[in-house]
Amino acid sequence: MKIVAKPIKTIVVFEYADKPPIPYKFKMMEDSGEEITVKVDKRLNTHRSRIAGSECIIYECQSIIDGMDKRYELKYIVPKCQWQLYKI
Amino acid sequence: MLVFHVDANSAYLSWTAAAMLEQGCETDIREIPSAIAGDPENRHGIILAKSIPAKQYGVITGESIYEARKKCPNLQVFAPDYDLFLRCSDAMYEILSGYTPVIQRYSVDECFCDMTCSPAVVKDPVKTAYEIKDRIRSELGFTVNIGIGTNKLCAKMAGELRKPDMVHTLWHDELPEKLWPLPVRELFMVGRATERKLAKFNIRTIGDLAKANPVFLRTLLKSHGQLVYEYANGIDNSSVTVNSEIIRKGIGNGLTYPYDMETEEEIFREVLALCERVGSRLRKLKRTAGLVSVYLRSSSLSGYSHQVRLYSSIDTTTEIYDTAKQLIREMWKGEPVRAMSISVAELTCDEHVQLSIFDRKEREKAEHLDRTVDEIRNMFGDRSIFRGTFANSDTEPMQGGVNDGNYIMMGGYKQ
Repeated sequence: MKIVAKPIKTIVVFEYADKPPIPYKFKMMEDSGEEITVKVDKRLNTHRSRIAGSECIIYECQSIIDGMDKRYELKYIVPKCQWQLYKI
Repeated sequence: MLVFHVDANSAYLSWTAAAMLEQGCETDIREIPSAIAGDPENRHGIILAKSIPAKQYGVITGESIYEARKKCPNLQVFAPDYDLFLRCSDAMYEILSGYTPVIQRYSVDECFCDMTCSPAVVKDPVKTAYEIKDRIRSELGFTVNIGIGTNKLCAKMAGELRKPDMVHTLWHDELPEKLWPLPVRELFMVGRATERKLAKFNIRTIGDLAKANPVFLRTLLKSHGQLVYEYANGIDNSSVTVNSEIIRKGIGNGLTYPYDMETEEEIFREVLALCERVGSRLRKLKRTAGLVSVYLRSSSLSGYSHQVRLYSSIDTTTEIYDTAKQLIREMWKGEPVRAMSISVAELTCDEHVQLSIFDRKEREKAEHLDRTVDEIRNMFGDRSIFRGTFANSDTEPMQGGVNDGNYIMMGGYKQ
């Protein structure tokens, strides 16, 4: 996987308990300018990171993109409340 | 006492490098000739931090980008991001606070930690230091040096021994082997002038200084002679003081301007913007000042200052501004002004103020006004309310300080 750090629009689920938000679906802009929607099929792993002091939650996920099963990472930057397609 | 000195290596540069790598940059700027420098357009183009490869070209902190590029033409220059620096500094502090509550934030990238209260650390300090260093590297993405000693001086000198990403001890019995062979300039509090004076008497290493006669050093350098003699012998009785307990002696605020100011009107408007910040900091600390001083630097880079001791202490922006104006009228020779700073000192508690028969009637009114303005700015930001004189002008109504007033200054003071 390569770092792309691309901003995305995300629908997330907040649990009842004090747990990190769970990404459900996201939209991203392709290089062609086309916006594609991806449903998060599987969440394989979640961990927190504080590289360069920025508190983030990183989700390792798997979805079908362009008809292919792909693994990727989504990142939630906590202080900025921003979502990114971090690695793909 | 057991003290750790934790110092981020090339802080501004390695924090920028960590953030860039995190965002997918393929080059680690720590491994190429690179530097962090201000914007030359605003005449802030000096090197703030440099990478080790840039250092090998002779690039030094504090020189201009132009001078640095002459030494190293392929130097890559990056702008400082104070938000990022603050985040990294806070994150480092947070990791350290997991080990001890007694931490002195000596500057944005340096902390002293008193570990005496932790029996586990005292038992094996080197192991804990390695654990902290490795945690900072893996969790935060940058490297630190940790110096271990029985006082702040030894810990700081240990941290400076070899960089980067190292742990060093400097116990008292290690002084002759580790500290004394170093050039005297390497010792904390020995600057260029002291080095020159000592060299005349053939004192060139820290060991020479440690073995010199303290009476002679006091004659040569006054009280500073005694201090450096003690430092050379690893003697330092100061304690690690948590920043909130540090007594503040003065408050200052200054700026280098993107253009030269040539009229009194221009200068006074900028002075007012500097005084706004000084006044608000002073009131936040609940202090009043008995001394005001102004420093001017002309376009020829020569500078001079002027100060006045007041009959009664003050804390309102208007009074500080009026005093600064009076000082400038007395000192300014009419040449273009490039940089300016205002500072106040002789601080006393604002609860008991010596009144003067010369006090202006409107003083109480001005105090109420300042308090109200401070509260509005606290709630809605610095730009929420400002004086009419700044309307439709290019001058920022509150100047000085960095990063919108949320930057840790030397001594860990948060505005």
